[in-house]
Amino acid sequence: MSVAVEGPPPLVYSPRSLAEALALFVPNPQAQLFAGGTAWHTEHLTTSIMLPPVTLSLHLAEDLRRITYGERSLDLGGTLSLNQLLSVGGPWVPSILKEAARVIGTSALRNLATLAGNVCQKGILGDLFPALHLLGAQFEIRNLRGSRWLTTQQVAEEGRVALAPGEILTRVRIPQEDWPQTFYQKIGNIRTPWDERLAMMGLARPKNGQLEALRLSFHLPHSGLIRIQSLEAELAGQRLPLPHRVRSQAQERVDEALNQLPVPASIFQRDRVLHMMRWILTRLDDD
Amino acid sequence: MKLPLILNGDDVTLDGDTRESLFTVLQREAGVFQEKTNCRKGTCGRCHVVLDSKEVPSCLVPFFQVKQREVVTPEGFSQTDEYRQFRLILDEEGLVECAECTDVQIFHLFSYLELFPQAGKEECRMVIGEIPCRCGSRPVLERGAARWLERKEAVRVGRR
Ligand SMILES: Cc1cc2nc3c(=O)[nH]c(=O)nc-3n(C[C@H](O)[C@H](O)[C@H](O)COP(=O)(O)OP(=O)(O)OC[C@H]3O[C@@H](n4cnc5c(N)ncnc54)[C@H](O)[C@@H]3O)c2cc1C
Repeated sequence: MSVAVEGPPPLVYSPRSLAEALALFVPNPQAQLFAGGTAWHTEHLTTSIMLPPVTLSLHLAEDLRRITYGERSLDLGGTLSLNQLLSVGGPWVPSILKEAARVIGTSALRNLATLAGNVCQKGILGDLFPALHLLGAQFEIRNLRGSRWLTTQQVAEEGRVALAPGEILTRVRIPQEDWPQTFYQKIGNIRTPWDERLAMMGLARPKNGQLEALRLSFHLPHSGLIRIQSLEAELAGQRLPLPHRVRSQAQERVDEALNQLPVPASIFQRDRVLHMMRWILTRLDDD
Repeated sequence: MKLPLILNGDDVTLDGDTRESLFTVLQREAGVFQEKTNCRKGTCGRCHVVLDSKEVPSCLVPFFQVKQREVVTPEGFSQTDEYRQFRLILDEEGLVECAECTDVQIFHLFSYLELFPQAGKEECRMVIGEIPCRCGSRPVLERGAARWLERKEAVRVGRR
């Protein structure tokens, strides 16, 4: 006995490779991609799964799940699940990316949820994006005519991954750089009200008593991403520990950035961001 | 749409709509999860199954994706030797059966430890906390998980 869900069933294709997926866009230009389907579900919460009229499900496309270890970079296939990412041993996957992945949903959800699906969620930047942005990652976008690379900087400026119909995010390229210090803290989850959710992260490279490089980011999912690259550049080269004056000035810059967010931060978010900023700046000289 | 799959070791063919979730079809067509209601949002853990060796919330898996794949439910898992061994450890640690969560927790924890056999104490605590229940069995589950991992490690080292 089958209970019909209302309306005509959608057309569903399950291509076995990237080439097959791209070819399917020719007769179905409006087809939509379905990877783990976990963000799709939150976008369309109902009892049945609201598939788009034409769905390309990527779950059988093995070539989109490849990991390539290069000399200077790591390439992660777009449909790698978050748990596959977490299972990569050794120092290859930067710890900040693992930390961000480990706190997405539940461990069972992370077997479905994919890297590309997280990055391409409609309307919001997923939790992996801020970490990828700090790492200077790039996204390979393919369509039938060829490929292009999208930098995380471009995405941060646009506020989302803007893809044209027929495009697929196929790979995430992460440059291999040494970041001896990693800071990551996420507050709240999908059940927490928007104004109590935030993630804060940092990468630092102290060397011979100096701060060689620093990257900092604060992500308020509903309000936006704060990353002040001019401040990062000013702090690089400073002697450690950072003098009180330098730390206070840095705090003020973050405070100003909080004021400029398109959707204002809540009192709670502001308090946590400034607290975390203070904390990171005092921890930079730790071995 | 009729799809062939392997359910708890048996070849079966289930009938469902493309848009239905695996949970809905298993409940209606295979009599699985009869007593259970779930959140249908992927958060409560009460509909988890193992799909091709990976634990997933079946309410988020569209039925069309399970064609010719292998599905194990908590009911199916509870018939295995591994379940009995794991359960024995938990009983020795003083597990008090909770009608709401015991089977779900054992299934969830076991599946996680299969995927991440290096999991530490903190990680186990986090995973156990993913199944919301107020029954108070968490410390027992944590101790059981630690013993299970020790035992597996001993077997692995012994084999070398
Ligand atoms: C209970 C629960 C908790 C969650 N918690 C979090 C959380 O803490 N943090 C968080 O960031 N998210 C969270 N999510 C949202 C979601 O699970 C994750 O973001 C996940 O990584 C999305 O991946 P997916 O493969 O399931 O994406 P899908 O749902 O398959 O796709 C998401 C979007 O990306 C597009 N897409 C998918 N693959 C590609 C591709 N290769 N190229 C181009 N476009 C593509 C799809 O068309 C769709 O628009 C949660 C969801 C649930 C249900």
